[in-house]
Amino acid sequence: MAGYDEDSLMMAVEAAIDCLRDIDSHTVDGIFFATTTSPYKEKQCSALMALPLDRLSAIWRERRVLLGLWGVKCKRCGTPQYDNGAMGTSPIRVCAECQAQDDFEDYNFAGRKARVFSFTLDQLAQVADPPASVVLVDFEGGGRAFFDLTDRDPDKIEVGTEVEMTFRKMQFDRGITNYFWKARPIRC
Amino acid sequence: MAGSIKDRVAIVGMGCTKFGELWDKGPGDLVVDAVSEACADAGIEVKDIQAVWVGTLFSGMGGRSVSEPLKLQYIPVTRVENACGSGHEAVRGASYAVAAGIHDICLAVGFEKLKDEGMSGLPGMENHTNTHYQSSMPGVFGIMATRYFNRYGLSPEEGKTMLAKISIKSHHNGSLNPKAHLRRELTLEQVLNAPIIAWPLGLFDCCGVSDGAAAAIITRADMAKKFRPDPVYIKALQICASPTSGRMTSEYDYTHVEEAYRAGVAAYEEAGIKDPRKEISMAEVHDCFSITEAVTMEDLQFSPRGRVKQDIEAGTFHLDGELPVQPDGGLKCFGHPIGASGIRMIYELYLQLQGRAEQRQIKDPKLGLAHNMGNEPYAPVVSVCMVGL
Repeated sequence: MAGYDEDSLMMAVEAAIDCLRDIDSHTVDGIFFATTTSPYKEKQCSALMALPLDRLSAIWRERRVLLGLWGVKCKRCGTPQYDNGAMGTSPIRVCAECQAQDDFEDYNFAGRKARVFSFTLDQLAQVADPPASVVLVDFEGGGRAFFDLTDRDPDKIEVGTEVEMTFRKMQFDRGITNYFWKARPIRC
Repeated sequence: MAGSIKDRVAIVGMGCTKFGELWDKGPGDLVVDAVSEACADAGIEVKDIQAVWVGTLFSGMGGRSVSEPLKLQYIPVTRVENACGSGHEAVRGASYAVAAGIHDICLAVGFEKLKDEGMSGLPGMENHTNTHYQSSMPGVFGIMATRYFNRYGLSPEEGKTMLAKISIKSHHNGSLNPKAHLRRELTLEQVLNAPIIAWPLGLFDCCGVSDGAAAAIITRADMAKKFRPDPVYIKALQICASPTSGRMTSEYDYTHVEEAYRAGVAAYEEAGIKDPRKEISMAEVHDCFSITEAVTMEDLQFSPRGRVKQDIEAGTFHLDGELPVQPDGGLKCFGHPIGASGIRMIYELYLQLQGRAEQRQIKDPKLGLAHNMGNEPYAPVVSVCMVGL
C-alpha cells in the first residue's frame, strides 16, 4: 500500500533502482514507464522537473543533485559529500574537507545505507505527517546530510538507527508535485 | 591580526525600545524611539550624527530605513545584514569608520518589526528550492540537544532539566527588566510540562518573537569624555562566518559551534584576554534556544566541554553568580527582533558597566561580552563584541 508520500512514480523509481543495482545507469538508453495510475498523465515532463512555487530554473540546474541524489567525491582527499543546502553550489564545487576546487568525480548516494547521527521531532514545521522527523545521517563510506525520515514510528527513532534512501513526494501545489529523497528505517 | 579596535572607540550614548508585540509601532517608530533615547543619553542631537550603519534582516532596505523616519539631512547611511549578527555588524561598521578617522560621531542602530508578519517564527526562512528536509529553527537546534544528550550520557529527563534551569534563570532576570517582552518567573514543573515544539525542546526552551530596536552613539575614544564621564570602550569586534561543512562531513560533532569558539578566541586575542571565565564580568549570549546557551558557555570557554551542566547547577550564570549570563533576560525574555538583538545586548552591558542596571545590577563589572549566532549550529555567522571600562 502506498504511503502518503508515494505514488506510482515512487514505485517505479524503487523498482528501477533494484533492477539497475549492478548496471551502470549511464549505459541505459531509455526508460519506459507503464502504469494505469500515472501521477502526470497529461504532463509527464513536468513530473520530472516539478517545482511547486517558483525558481523552476534553479530546480532545473540542480536536477541531478535533487532527483538523482548525485553528490561528489573529492579527487584530492577522497571525501564523499552531498549538499542539499541553500547557499552552496549545486553540484558542489569546493571540497568541504580540503577546499580543492572543481576537482571531483560523481558519487551517488541513492543506494547507500546510513545511520542517524541525530534527529528531532519537529511540531512547528508544516508537514503532511507531523511531527516532521528530520534526521542528520552519516552514510556508509562517508558523507552526511539532512533528510526527512518517512515510514517511521516517531517513538522508535534513535541516534544510531539504520536507514536507507527512498524517492518520495514532497510538496504538492497548483497541480504539480515536487519530489526528493527521504530516509527510511531499514525494515529487515 | 594586523590591528585591534581595542580602546580606539567609545560608546557615549545608547537607547533601546521596550521589546514586545508593539502593534502601535511601525519599523520607523522603533528607529526613532531607539535613536532619540541614544542621542539624549549622549547629550547630542540627531543632526550631530555624521554617518549611520543600520542592521536589519527583514524590516527595511537600504539606508532609507533610517534616513527616512529620522529625516536625516543627506548624510551617509549604510544598511548591513549579517543574519542574527546584523546588529553587531552595524556597530562594527560605525566603529571602524570612527577608528579610521573618517567620522567622529557615528550611529549604529538595529531594528526588526517581526509581529506584522502575522505568523509564528521568522518570516521567509523556507529553503530556497523548497524541496528538501522540512525542519523549523527549533528543529535544527532540537537536533543539537538530541546529540548533546546522547554524547554526554544524559537521559531525556536529565537533559531537559539542565536546559530548563537556563530558561528559569533568564526569566528571573527578565522579570526584573521593564524593557523585556516576557516578564514572568518560571517553575521547573512549568518548563518540563510545556508542549514540545521540536523534541527535545519545549515551549520554554525557545525564545520569543518580538519587535524592537536599539541604538548606540560611537565616537573617538579621545573625545568620549566630552560627552559623558563614564563612556564604555569597545574592546573587541569579531565575526566568524561558517563554511557550512558540518552538514556535509562526519567530523562535526553537533555538540559545539566551531564558529563561536573561533570568534571567541579571536575576540580574546583582540581584547588581550587570557582567562575568559575569570576576566569577563558578564555576558549576553545568543540564547535563541536553551541548548544554544548551554553549548555557547562551552564554546566561549566559560565551562569545560561537556561540563556546562555542573556550572548551571552551581548557579554560576545567575545574577549573583560567578559569571552572570543574560542579566537582562536574554533573547529568552526579549525575543529576537534580529537586527536589534546584538545592540540590545550591548545596551545591557553598557548600563551594567555604568551602574545603571537597577534591580539587575551586577557588582562592579569591568568587562562584558555579547555574542550573536545566526543560522543553524552547523552553518552560523557568529559575532562577538566586547565592551568595558
